[in-house]
Amino acid sequence: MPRKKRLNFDRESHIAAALFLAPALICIAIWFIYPLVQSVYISFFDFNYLFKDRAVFVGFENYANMFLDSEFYKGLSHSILFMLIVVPIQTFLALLLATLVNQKIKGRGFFRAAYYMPYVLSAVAVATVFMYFFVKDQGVAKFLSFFGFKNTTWFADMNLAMPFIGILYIWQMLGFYMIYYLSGLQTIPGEIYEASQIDGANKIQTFFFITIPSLRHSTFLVVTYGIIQSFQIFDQIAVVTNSSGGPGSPAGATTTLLTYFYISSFKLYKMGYGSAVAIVLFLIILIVSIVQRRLVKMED
Amino acid sequence: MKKGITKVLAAVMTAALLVCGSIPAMAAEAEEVTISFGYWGDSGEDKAYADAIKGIESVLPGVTVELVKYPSTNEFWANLPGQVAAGTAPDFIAPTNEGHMSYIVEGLFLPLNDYIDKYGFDLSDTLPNALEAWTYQDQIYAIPTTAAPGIFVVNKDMWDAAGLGELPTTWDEVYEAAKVLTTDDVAGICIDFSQGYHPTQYTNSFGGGWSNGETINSPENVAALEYILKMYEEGLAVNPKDLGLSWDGEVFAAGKCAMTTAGAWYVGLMSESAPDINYEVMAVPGGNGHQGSSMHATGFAVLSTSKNPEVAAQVANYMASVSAQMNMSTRAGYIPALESLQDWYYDINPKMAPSRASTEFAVSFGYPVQSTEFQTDLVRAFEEVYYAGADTTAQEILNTLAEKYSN
Amino acid sequence: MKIFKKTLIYALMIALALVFLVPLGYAVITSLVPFEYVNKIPPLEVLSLRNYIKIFEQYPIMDWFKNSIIVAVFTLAGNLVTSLLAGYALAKFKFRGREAVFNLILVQLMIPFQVLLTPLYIMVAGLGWHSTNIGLIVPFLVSGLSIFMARQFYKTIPDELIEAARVDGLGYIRSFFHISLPLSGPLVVTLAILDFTSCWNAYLVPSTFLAKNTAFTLPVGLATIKAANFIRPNETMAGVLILSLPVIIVFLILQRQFIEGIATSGLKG
Repeated sequence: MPRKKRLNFDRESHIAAALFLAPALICIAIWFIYPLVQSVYISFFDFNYLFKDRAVFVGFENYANMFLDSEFYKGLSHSILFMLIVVPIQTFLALLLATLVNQKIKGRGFFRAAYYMPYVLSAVAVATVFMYFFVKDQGVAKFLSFFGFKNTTWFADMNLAMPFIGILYIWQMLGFYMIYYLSGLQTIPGEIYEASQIDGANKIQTFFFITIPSLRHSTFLVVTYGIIQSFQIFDQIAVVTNSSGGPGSPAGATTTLLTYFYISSFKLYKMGYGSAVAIVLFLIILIVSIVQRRLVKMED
Repeated sequence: MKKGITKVLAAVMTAALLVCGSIPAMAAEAEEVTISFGYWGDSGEDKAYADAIKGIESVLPGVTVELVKYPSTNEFWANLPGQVAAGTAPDFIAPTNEGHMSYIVEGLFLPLNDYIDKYGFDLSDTLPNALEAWTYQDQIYAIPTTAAPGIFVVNKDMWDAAGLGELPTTWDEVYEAAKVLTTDDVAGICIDFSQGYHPTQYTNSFGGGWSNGETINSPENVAALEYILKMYEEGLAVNPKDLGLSWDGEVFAAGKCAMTTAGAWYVGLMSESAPDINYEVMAVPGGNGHQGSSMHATGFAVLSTSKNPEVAAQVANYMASVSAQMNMSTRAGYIPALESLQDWYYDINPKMAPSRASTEFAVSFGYPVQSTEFQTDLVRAFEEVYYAGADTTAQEILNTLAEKYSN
Repeated sequence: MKIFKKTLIYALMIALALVFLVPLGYAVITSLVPFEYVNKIPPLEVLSLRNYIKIFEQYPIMDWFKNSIIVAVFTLAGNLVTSLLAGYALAKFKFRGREAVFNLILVQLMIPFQVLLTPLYIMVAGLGWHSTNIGLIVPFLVSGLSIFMARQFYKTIPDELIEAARVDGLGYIRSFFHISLPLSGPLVVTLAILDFTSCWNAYLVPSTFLAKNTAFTLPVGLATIKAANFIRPNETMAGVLILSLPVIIVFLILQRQFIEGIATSGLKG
């Protein structure tokens, strides 16, 4: 009897899963897989949508050419460094902010709104203000010069342009991850905290031994998605370099794999090549994500 | 659903009106055609174009013009390939002559000569250099509607405060003046090197020019680029990027530079954003005993994907009329492309008058066919020197570009 | 000591809030001044709502607003349905191919979206949906990120709770509606906040799919507010605030749902 019941459950769970997943999967098949297949297909052509009939099959040439272009390696190294530095910082800060605004304090709504604000405001508004403060002799640039940084216009400096983008990016994305952590904090049962207080743990101990482990499912998303997103940073670079040399300016200091792709596809109309770059970028993100999941087993 | 019915009703009624209204003579050949005109711009341009298509039904019976507005130049060009592939591209558009050559050569813009002859479009009043900007191998690829020569502006207050006397007419004088005008806060000159526009003022005024890629590394162009690099090297020039600003006009209006190469749009910008700054407009200074600048000309170009190119060309011609160009000039500040409107324009824009001579010698940008890529590479080469400290010379930069872009 | 600590935390939070609000403050002030006072300290008497009035007078802003609302509401509704169901299935159902489906969701996030833009546009235009609201809604009824979030949320619900329901005779599907859905408050709020914000602010897709002044959504329309050849930062910032205000209001309403310890009672019940 028990055995039979189990089988039934199995079938039932397959039916349930099929029903629950069907809407999502059908949409994904139409609106994701179909266009993706087309993009993969054109990556083997010298292709421009303007003149589709002039497409020439080139095999793996687009892929091979990429590895001969020094700009590609520049983008790759920037993308990887950016990810390595940005993801830990933003994860930590988001958790900190979420914890702060999850306290029972007066004006909680105000603080939450304030910290969420940069994510709400368009990248244009946030970048405009940021750029204003990071110009030579202005607010932040001047202030940081007392701590050994060069007093210069950050986004016009070869070494500081990418750090500037990083600060701007973290600033804007923090609100997003904070909200996600905040919802994670809602799912931690209050009794766990009460129990740990009875055991005599102080707030910091509780944070490290109760809160962080309980948030592992949230952290898995924040880190996984954070890595994926950091590779795809574009808006902030576009706004900062818009009409001042284009993505990558100055002299390739802000080139990432995505700006490299964007310029190829949408500015120079080398769409076959652009697709190849995008696919390689995807493969790199995939490898990094697999490594990350192997290295740190965040989920059971 | 309701909307659908309303639309059908509206269409039926319009059709009925059109048929009734145009019974005499034309009725027989009147065919219902919708021509879409793609553009991007501000609310002034919205209104100017809406005005420009008024009354078209009496000239071209059965033709409806649909205004298709794109969010911006960037979005239009980024998505044009998709639209062409999907068959949703407009019949004709209003591009400028900065990136047009590749579309002409690759056949996206239609030559208009047949239609000009057939329907007798009168282009005799159009400024020759505006027309030249849109001519390639004896074929005209757009009907020009604006013609703005590159100009030069000087902050008169700073100039006078430095006791400099006469305004400069050569780049040597500009150089000497810049040395006096440059202070901790103010750069003598702004040379916006974020695109090809400003460097081209220098190459053209030094007697050079890109000539569609034929003369990229000519001695005149080398001299011009050397001059630019020298201004930067000696700390006399500023790139808008260095100040966190996006273009030269913002630098000039913020009082952060004393001089800059410019365009007609400065008049509107300065009166709105810096009414207190006293400035003078003049022709771009000469170099090596030459004089020159660029002719920036918007035109109506018919796309080869249009199903009714002939009608589209006629609509374009209608929309480029004298009154339409005047209207556009008043609403959005453009300089009309018609010879006969020049007096009118400079009368109502006295600030621009000293630069009027530029209209005589301004020529098209002349970028190589791959104009976008060429400008990207040119900007990049400059940034390599100025920001990344490469010790490439002007000659080497232009040699490299010439090798890549000469036909 | 306790008061000292509390004051310290408050001071820190207020300082942080100020830093975070600087861009907003800048936007507000800039939006109230004439062009010539941009980036200068303006005298009080020049502050006015003129930029806002001008925007409302010169542009079909109510059309843009309507389009934005329709697109955001329908996209959000679709997303909630698809992601709650799919996320729950991925977290709690045991079935063959579960890992594969989850990996597909992750892959969807990893593909740079821009590479799909042109093929997507061609599909949408082929259906005649370019320059319409439908074209901005239907292709985006599913979001990999939302499914991922839902999955992570449902993973935190103890299996025992669902097992218990099953002992009571509820099937897989009914146990979702009776046990898990009522506990989904924080998830729904999070998705509502985050999806609404990103949909409301979306620029890339609408700016590609729309080519008609009255069909624009707010972010696209507001980006066209400029002079023929230059930008007026004061009007741009007024546009930014017009755009942001609804999101801020939605956020302030929804964030009340985040209450410390809400889950306790929920899990017990």
